[in-house]
Amino acid sequence: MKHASIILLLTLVWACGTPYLDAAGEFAKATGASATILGGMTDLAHQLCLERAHLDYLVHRLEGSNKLDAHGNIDPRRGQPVPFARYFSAAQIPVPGGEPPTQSWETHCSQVGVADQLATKALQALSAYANALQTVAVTDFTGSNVKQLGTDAGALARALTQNTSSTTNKVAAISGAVSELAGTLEKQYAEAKVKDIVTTADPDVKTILAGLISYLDAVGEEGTDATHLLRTLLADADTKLSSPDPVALLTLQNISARWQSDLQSKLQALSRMSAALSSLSDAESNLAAAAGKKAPDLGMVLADVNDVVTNIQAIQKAF
Amino acid sequence: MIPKSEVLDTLFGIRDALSDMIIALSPTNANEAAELAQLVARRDRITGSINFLIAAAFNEAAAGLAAPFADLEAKTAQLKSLNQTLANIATAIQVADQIVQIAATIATIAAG
Repeated sequence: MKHASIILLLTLVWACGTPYLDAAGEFAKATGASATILGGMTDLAHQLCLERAHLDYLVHRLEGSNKLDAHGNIDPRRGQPVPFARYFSAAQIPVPGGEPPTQSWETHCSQVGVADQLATKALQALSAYANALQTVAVTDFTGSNVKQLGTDAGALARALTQNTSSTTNKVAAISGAVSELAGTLEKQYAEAKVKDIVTTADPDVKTILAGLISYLDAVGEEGTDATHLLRTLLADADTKLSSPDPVALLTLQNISARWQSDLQSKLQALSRMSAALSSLSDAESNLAAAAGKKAPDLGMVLADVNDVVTNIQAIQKAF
Repeated sequence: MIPKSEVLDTLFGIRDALSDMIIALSPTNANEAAELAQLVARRDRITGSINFLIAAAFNEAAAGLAAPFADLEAKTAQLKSLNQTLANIATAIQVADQIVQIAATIATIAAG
C-alpha cells in the first residue's frame, strides 16, 4: 500500500512536471540506465583487438605461414616459425597507404587501449554532467574533479594524435569536447550560473555523444572483422582435419561453439551500448530543447528531479 | 552514398575468399610455393587495408566514391569466380593487388 502511494505520488509529480522537469528527468533516467551498460566499454575495443590478433595468428599457424624474417615480415618460405607472443609483437602487418606502412598487432592494440581510456573519460564527463544536473541545488559541488577529467582527456588525446595510423582518430576528436565540458561545468558552478549549464554545455555534450557513438561503430567493425576471422579459422581447421577423427571433430565443434558464443556476447554488449548512447542522445536533445523555453529556475527544477530520482531508487531497492 | 560498412564487408569477403584459396592449395614445387607465399602476402595486405579503413575518417557522401566501389565489387566477383586451383594463383595475386589499390583510393576519397 505504501509503495502504491509512492508510485501514485511520483506519477503525479511527473504528470504535473514542466517540459524542463520532464526533459531533465529523462536525461537523468537515461544516464542512470546507461551507466551500467556503458561501464562495460572500459576495454572492449582492446579485448576485441587482442582477439583479432589471436585469430589472425591462428589462421597463419594453420596455413604454416606464421613465419617471420629478421625484419618481422611474414615469409612462409624463408622465415622462422614463431609463437603467438612473437607474432603479436614483431609481425609487421602491411598497411597500404598508411604511415608507417606496416604495424604490429601489439602497436595497433596498444593504440586501441589508449582510445578505450579516452572513451572512458568521455563517459565520466557525461556522468559528471548528469550528476551535476541532479545535484546542483542540494550539494556544494566545486567541479574540481571535473576539471581533472578535462586535463586527463587532453593528455590522452595528445598520446593518440602522435600515432597517426591509430584506429582511434574518432575518439581523439571528442577529447576537446571533454575538456570544454569539464571547463564549462567548473566555471558555471564557480559562478553559480547553474541556470546556464544546459545551454552552455549542450554543444560539447552532443559532440561527446556523437564521438562515442562513432567510436562504438568502429569497435563494432572490429567485432565484425573478428567474426570473419573466426569463421575462416574454423573453416581452415576443418579443412586441415586429415581424417574423420571423431575426437578431433568433437573438439573442433566444442571450440567453435565456445568461441562463437564468446564473440557473440561481446557483439551483444556492443549493441546494448549503442542503444544506451542513442537513448542518452535523445534525452540530451530533449533537455536542450526544454532549456530554451521559459521554465522555472533550473536549480529548483533539478532539486525536484533529484527528489524524484532518489525516490525511484528507494522504490527499486524496496522491491 | 557508400556506407563504410559496405566497403568493409566487401573487403571481409575478399579476405575470406583468399584465405579459403590459401588453405585449399598444396604446392607441388618451389614455384608454386613461392606463388602461394605471395598470395598470403596479398591476403595480409587486405587485412592491413581493413585495419586502415576501420581507423580512418570516412565521409560516406564524398563525391567520387561510387565508381571505385563499383570497381571493388567487380574485382570481388572476379576473385570469387576463380576456382581454387594452383593454376589460378597468379590471377588471384593480380586481382588482389588491384583490390588493395582500389581500397586505398576509396580510403583517400572518403577521408578528403
